[in-house]
Amino acid sequence: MGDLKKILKLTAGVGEELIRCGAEISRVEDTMNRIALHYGVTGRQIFIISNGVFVNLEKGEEAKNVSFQHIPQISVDMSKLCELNSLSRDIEQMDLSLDQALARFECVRGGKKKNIWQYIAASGVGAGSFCYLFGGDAKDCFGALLMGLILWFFFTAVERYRLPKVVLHTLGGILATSGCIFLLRLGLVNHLEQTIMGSIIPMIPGVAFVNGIRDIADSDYISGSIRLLDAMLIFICIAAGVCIAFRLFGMGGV
Amino acid sequence: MGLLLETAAAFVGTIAFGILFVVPSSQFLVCGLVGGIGWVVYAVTLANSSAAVASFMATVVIVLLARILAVVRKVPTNVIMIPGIFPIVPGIGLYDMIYNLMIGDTASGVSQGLAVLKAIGAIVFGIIAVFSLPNRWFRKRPKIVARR
Repeated sequence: MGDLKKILKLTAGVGEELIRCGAEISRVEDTMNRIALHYGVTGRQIFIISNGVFVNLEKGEEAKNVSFQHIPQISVDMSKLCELNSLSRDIEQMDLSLDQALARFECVRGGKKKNIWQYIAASGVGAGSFCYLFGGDAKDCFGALLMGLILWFFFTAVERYRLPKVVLHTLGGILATSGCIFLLRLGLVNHLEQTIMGSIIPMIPGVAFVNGIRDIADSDYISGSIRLLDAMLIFICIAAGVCIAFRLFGMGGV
Repeated sequence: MGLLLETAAAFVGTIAFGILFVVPSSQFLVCGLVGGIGWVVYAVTLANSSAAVASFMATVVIVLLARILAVVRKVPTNVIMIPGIFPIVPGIGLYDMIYNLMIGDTASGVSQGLAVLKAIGAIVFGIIAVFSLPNRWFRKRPKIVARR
């Protein structure tokens, strides 16, 4: 593999992974420019939107190399974000060679083995403590904790079917709300609204929302509006799920 | 006492969201502290003012802390900021809005929706305000190496 090809592989790969794990556009752009400059390209054109990376690198008069990457799905992973960040810092400060940097990048891209029970527990604990913040009492918190566990277990179980986001979050809303209504009828929780809000909070698209705002603040308007639309769509799906569940149980009006 | 328990809940909840977003375990304590401090600011301001002002103040404190700590801990700002901002999401307002719109009480639904929109607008404005501060205010000063 030629030198320029390797630089391109590293630059485009880092950009792709950064977007995938939840970085804002300006960071991706900055990191890619730094890496390309450090390995001495003579010309570079980089364009990034929230689901694609376009790079053209030049070295000398003749050699040119172009890469287009489509990034259809985002899976938030802040550990990967930290590791890519320190990789780019080390490339500049410790002067890593191209092969060393590529080897370390492949290692980061591979990721770590994830323990699903850890996430299920976190979803439960998060739902329970947020239910308390919304003003629920001890019984409501335990109800929300239970529903948070069940909700994430459901998400983990259906992950391999690759359901569309819309369907997934509507089903999640239905599941959490019907579970809460069930718990209320059994007398295990006292306040329906705090319990429901607590149990659906693990689904709230916080990363898309915050990144959307940051992109707009950096005047990356296209990526920002796409991300805010994404967050809004997910929120509407959750709300629709809640309404469907209320109707199924014959609660709430006509 | 109530505030103490709520702050503890915000601390634990923020760390739980940190785990969901796969934040490295070395940053859990920082995330939790930022979430807890944000909630204290929110609760104290809410007692003396409106929800929108409280959301704005809390967001400014959270994002400012996240930017400072991100430099100290050498991690991207998102790692600390995104979990930390969750406790001030206007959850109950959102629920009331959806519920009232669903049962056909459009008037209260819309008025609650506007209240939620104000709170979210305040959060957005807070994030944008802190990110418009120039980067060099947060950069660490380069260490001065003594030369002989």
